Amino acid sequence: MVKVTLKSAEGDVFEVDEELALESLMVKNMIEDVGLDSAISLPNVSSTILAKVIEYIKFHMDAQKDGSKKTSEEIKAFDDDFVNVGIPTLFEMVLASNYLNVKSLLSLTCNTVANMIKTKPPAEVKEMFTSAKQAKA
Amino acid sequence: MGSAFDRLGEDELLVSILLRLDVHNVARMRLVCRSWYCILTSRSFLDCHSEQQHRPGTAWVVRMTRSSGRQSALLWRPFSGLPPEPTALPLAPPGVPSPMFVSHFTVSGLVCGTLAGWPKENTPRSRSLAVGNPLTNAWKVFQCVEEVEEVETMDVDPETGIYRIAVFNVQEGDTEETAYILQYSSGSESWVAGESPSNVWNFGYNHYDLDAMAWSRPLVRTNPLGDWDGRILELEDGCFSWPIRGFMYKGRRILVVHREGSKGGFRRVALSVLEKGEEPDKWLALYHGCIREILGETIGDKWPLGDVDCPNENWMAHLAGDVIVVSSRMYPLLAFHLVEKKWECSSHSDEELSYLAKKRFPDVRAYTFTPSFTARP
Repeated sequence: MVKVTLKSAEGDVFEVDEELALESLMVKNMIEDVGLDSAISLPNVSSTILAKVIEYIKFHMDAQKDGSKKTSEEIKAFDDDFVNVGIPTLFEMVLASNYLNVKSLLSLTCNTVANMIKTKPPAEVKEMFTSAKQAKA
Repeated sequence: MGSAFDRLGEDELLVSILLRLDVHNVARMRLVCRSWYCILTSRSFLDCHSEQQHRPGTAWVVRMTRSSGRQSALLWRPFSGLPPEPTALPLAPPGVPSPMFVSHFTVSGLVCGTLAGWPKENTPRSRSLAVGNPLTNAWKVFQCVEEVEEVETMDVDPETGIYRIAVFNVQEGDTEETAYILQYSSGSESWVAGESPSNVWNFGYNHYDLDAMAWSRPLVRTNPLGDWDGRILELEDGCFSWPIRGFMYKGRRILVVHREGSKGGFRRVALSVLEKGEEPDKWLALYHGCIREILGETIGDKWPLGDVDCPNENWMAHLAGDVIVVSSRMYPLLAFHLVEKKWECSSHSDEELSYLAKKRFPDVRAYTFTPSFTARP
């Protein structure tokens, strides 16, 4: 199995299967442009978030493989758990999945944010976005 | 690396999240801050949102409820899986007492009705018409040159937003009634006479064409239910049927028919949804059955009155998207999905049920529309 090396914003190195890396259309384009010889640098994605994205892609790739015994309930449970994170992390994941161009994860995270908005009064939504700002500042 | 919020805020990513909100939440979230307000009211956002979100099949129903003498509105979204919820959507144009507004027709996000008050007789008549977008609470009230019996049909030009309305009027003469059509255009704000129908009470069976200002040919002359036997209702004493309303739906002619009769001393009421077949005077049944069966699945034992029909019941039907909403004074609101061919009904409040248990009629009032931020009256 061919491996691809991904380098996070902090310079941490993640070695993943090529098949997994290609799930990110951004990485796929990079590989097509520069080949597999050097590490692919992802200056917009932190190590924590990159690890999460890899975990997400890996789970869904395994679940789609023939012989996978994962039920749709189990997949849903994984997704629910996966986005059950603090708002700053969730926002980082929206940005990372957009940057890396992982459509399914972008859709999952955007829907999660939209659903959080739906259940809150406007003042709390403002608070939610402001506190995410402060947490990062 | 800037904060996630800042980057989300200035990014199209925020827009892509906000596009996932339903219409209700788009309106609510305008209050978050100035920049959200700008996004959520911008024409480009709303156009994109209506393309992505309002599946054209969506129907919203605003239903008036009364509890301890107080009026309030309930939003019912049939076939959405969402429960009815209290809403601030208007019951009538601003300044008009809500019992005055009787909705007749809905198209492309607009509702059109008369300001006649709830009728003592069967059909409300008034010269005042109101056209409005309930979602944006924008309304226009204007006068017809005659008292309006029924709004026959209406359309909106998607390019210009100009709408046309055809109203069906009846003049009572010494020996017979004469029916005639008046047609309004919001472009010229004027009324002109359209072709009179050949039969006073054939509205519903035939379709009035706003472009030709005439009734579509060939006219349907026979009662579509004429050659049906009474087996569905198992009636003994014959069956009385009446078209509630006809619609054009995706080029198909749809008719909602009410039937009643009695069996063994019990009154029975049925509704049929018919589609015009290709052969002249042939209609196909999309649904027919007793109202008891339609109510049964949703309301079950809570329905206190069986198949009773209130005297001079005021049946109305509105088509919004893929859904026909059938309303009456006493029954719960009924919605028929033309694609899925199934019914759903809203329920009565406890106070209304207690009215019904005493055989008094609660006066259920509602209007139906497809939510749109862009439709302008």
